[in-house]
Amino acid sequence: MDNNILLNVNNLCKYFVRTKGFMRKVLGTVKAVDRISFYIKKGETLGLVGESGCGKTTTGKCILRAIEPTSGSIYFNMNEVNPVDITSLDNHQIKEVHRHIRMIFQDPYSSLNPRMPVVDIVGEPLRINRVVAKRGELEERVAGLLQMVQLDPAYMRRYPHAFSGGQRQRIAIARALALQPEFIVADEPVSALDASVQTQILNLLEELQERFNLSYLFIAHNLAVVKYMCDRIAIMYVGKIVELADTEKIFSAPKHPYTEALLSAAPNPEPRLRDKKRRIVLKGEVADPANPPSGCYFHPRCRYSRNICRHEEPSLVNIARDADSAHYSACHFSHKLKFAGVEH
Amino acid sequence: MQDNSSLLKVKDLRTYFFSREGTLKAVDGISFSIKRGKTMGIAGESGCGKSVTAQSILRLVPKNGRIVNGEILLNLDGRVVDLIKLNPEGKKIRGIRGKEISMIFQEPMTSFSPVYTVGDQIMEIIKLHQNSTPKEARKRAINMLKKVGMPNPFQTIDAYPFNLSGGMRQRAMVAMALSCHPSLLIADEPTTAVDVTIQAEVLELIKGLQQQLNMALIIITHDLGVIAELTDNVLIMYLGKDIEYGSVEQIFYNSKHPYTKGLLASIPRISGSKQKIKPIAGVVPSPYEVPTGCCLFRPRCSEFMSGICDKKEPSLVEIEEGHQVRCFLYAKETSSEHG
Repeated sequence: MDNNILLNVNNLCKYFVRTKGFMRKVLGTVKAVDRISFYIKKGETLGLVGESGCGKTTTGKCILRAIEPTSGSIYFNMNEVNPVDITSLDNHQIKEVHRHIRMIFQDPYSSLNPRMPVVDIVGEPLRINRVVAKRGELEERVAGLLQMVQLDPAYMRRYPHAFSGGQRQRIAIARALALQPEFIVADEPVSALDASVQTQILNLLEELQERFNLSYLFIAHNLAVVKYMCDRIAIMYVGKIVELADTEKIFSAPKHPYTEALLSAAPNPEPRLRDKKRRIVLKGEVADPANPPSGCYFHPRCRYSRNICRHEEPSLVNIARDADSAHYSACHFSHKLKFAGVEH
Repeated sequence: MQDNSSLLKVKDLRTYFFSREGTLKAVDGISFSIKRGKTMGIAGESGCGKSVTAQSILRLVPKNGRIVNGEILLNLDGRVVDLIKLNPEGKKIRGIRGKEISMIFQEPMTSFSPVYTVGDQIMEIIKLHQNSTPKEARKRAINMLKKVGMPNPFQTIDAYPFNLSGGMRQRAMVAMALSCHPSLLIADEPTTAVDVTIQAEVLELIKGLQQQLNMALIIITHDLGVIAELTDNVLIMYLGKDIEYGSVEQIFYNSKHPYTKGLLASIPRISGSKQKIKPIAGVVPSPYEVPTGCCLFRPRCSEFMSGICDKKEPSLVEIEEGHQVRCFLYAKETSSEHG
């Protein structure tokens, strides 16, 4: 594995089995995440975008083994010697990995224990991993962490209810940083926040990334936020990655009809562009992962769909002409059709 | 006497909430008017009073709140009714709710009753306002579902809300709101709880039906993207005050208030090259800790002028046609007063 690559996910699958009744009769499987592969370089932000139910959160949780993946491998370059496969570790070894990979959740109102003061919330990872021995040392470390996220350390004895949404998200970030991780899975970290606060948190995440050479898996549904934060973007649809490329490429020259539709659907705060824009309204609903359509999962909603789309599932292939910037797309007609990107 | 062209005129509306912690001025002196067929957007961060404004218009303010001042004049084909003078539980306002003014809420799952079918709930409104027989009402409800692009309207009419997906539920909600052809539709965060592609669908649907029915539309949202795509005029609110009002062009390309400017500079954009976004300093204060006797935005303002902004409240000044702003930077008289 390339030394520059921090995380390499290969053919990751998570199937949930639906059962019924006392005898747990199997009704079918839901392919929440279906054979997805990607890598993340050191200091890089990869965006994972898709609509609700497409499997982006499940992917994030599988990386931490908060959910057990069904199959596939997740190689993590923990100490520069040998990448370890996270999926093969036992409970004891996974704890070591958890010191290097942390997670930030969407809703800062439910991710912080309301009965714990901030000093305990932020200091808990330090205590559990026996990083600090004495209470005084712990408080010192927590004070440093709170300063790092621009919160006043004097507030460390307060409880979460005393803080606003943005401040709570800062506390969650301080907790994630406590063990000096290399990699953070950020699951919709700003979608519950107001516009002006959202910006503060995004800029904070960027600053911290530069300072500690952090890598992010940035899970979000807001395309403008993803464009601002990410170096590369993976678009997911019903458990699969349908397109993966540099941010620039995704926005200026998408190669998948779903990406094209997503870009056209995103509301743009530019009133002068609204009459020029042709919004693609998708027919129907997101496919049910328990009962997906045949062939390409997107074909029932796709305006370019042909006969082949109904029968044959397209694979994710690199269609870039130049070798140095890969552009993966899973569409039979990626190379033939010209999709509209975002107008400038 | 009344300007016939404007359908709804709100004048100096003040809605306060009273609790043991003190008085919360949720809406504090808002004025605007809207014409038939036009769209107005109300934008602001959470707690700025945008939803309470909508509740006040429909007289649905929660029990601990009260409209303490103002006029809400609704033009019913030449006859003007002041909604504030009506009994909020009386017959008159109930004849207006759902018939003249309708509302779409943010969460379609909670705004439908789970124990009645979608059809029952749409037919209820039709029966109530149009004195039609059950048979007729059913026919009209099916027609309405067809109009909002619901697949299989003959089956969906007997479906319960939980049978429908998020997008379908929002469509049913639109069908219900428009079933009596209201002259004003208020949409409170109509697309915040749904995915982007569904959002696009619902917005297109509302836009299309608005033109078809020549309705006035008030869109309440925190998403400036939605505002930019749909509205003609925009009202920016901050802590219960209208701080800037103008056409969508004026607000987005010639904004004057430091808060509006800050909001626009703080949102990441999907078009154009990457620019550093600048957050507004600080956070919206808790409603009980609102500064008084001065400009409300003062603690967060980048253009704060000592001796002016902290001495009195700014008033709304018109700086160009149809463009008003509540800020001392543009108030000519005050600078001479203090200068």
